[in-house]
This record gives sequence, structure tokens and C-alpha cells, in this order.
Amino acid sequence: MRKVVQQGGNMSKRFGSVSDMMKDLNDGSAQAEAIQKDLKRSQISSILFVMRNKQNLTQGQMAEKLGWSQSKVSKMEHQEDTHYSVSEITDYCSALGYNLEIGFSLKSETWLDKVKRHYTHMHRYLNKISDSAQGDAAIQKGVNQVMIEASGNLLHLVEVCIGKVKKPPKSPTSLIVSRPEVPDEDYAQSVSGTKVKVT
Amino acid sequence: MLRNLDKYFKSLSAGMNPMQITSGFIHNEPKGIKAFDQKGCSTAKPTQTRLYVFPEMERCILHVITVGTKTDQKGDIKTAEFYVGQLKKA
Repeated sequence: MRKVVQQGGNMSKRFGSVSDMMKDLNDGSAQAEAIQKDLKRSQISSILFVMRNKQNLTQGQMAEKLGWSQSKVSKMEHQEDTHYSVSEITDYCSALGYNLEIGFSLKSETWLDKVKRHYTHMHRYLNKISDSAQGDAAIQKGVNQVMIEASGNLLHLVEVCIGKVKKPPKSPTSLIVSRPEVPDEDYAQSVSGTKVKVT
Repeated sequence: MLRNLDKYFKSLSAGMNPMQITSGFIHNEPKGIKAFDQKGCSTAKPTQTRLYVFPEMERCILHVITVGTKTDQKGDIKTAEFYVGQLKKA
């Protein structure tokens, strides 16, 4: 799902996220800001909600797995980020087969910085995979397959990047129109066989 | 309610099928329409409100159709059904 469309009479507008939609609906108002803040404050609950649904589990089944009540699972999927304990999130993730990873990034980090950071991570992980063979032929065979797959993915990424490079519009070049060259008398004769007088 | 809409949209964006997404705040209405209530809202006793949406999987679009209170429910569902009907005709 890439777009959310909001209807208003005969008009419809498209947005990339609910947050963008709210920005547009209440442009600059205090209510719009409050909604934005509210959405930002409940990011963990959204992640947990998506993770559970991805595994086709209902809240009841999830509660069974965790030995919790269904209402606690529901609370986990609705509360604000500041109300969680790390152990609760760890238990929740673990029941779904995930590890909890905590990362930090500078508030000033740009999208380009993020791309660079992920590039560094990719490089490090590929090196680790490569080193894991340690002379074992069977593992090396698997490593080779991984590297071929990674190469394909990276080439695709390169292709995407190149595709996004927009060529600057061509600057208009002036058309030079000059007086046509008048062939000399001898040349005209050699071509046509008759003497043409060029004036 | 908007938080719930945000969760639902993120789930669809993660590649999930609408039938896969289950939670207490999602109510299935006819023609694939979903109604979200305000469950999970931090306010003690919020007015019972419902937001009607339609996930159009072919075009990867989540249509936000209308919103109303519990008392307007019948009319709102009709509005939503009419909207989806028009969408399917187009």
C-alpha cells in the first residue's frame, strides 16, 4: 500500500502517510500539530502491531504465546512509546521470533547520512559472511551463492540510482545560417557536363 | 482513531493482506469496507466514532471515505458502500 486517499465531496487527495494527510487537513493548526505529535509518540505500538499481524496471529493467540492476558497485548499495541519497559518489548519480540535491536542516530542525521551508514553496515556484514567460510568448501559454496545474490541486489540498486539521475535540460544552441557556398564554374561543368554561368 | 488508521496503513504498506490484519478496533463491513473505532484512545471515555476506509489492493490505495458517530453508522455505511460501488464501476 503506497497511498492513502482522503475523500472530500467530489475531491480526493493522495498522501504517502496518515501523518501527511493530517498535515494537509489541518494546515498549521494546533490540532494538526497535536495529531502529528500523537502519531510520533506511538511508533513502537505500530511496529508491534505490524509484527504480530505479519505472523497471522490474533491478539488472543499472541496472549497465549506470552502467557499474558489479551487486554495486555492490546495495551502493548496501543500505548505511547514512553510507557514501555524494555523487558516487555523484548518478550513481545521474542515470542514472534525477533531479537530487539536498539540503535541511536543523531537528530541532525540526513537521508544521505543514513544511506552512508547502511552502506557501511552492508560492507561489514558482507565481509563477515565472506570470512565465515574459513577454508570450508561447503560453507564457501554457500558464501559464493550469497555473494552472487548480493551482487545482483547491489547492481539493481545501482540501476535504480542511475535511473534517478535527472539530466539537466539541454541549453538551446544557436542555429548558424550562412550564405550558401557558390560552386565555381569549373565544378559546375564537371557535374552537369554543361557550362553553367554562376553569377 | 487516527492512530489506528496509521497502524492499518503501515500494515498494508508492509505487504499484508487486509484479511490478515486483525485487531479489536477493526470492524468488517460489506464490500470490503473496514470501520475503525477509537479503541486504544488514551481519553477516558471518548465519543464512539467510526472511520470508514476501503483498501484497494490492485492500485495500492487506502481510501478514507467518511467518519461519523455510532448513531450515524447506518448512513455512513451506505455512503461508503456507494463510494466503493462507484469505484468498482470506474
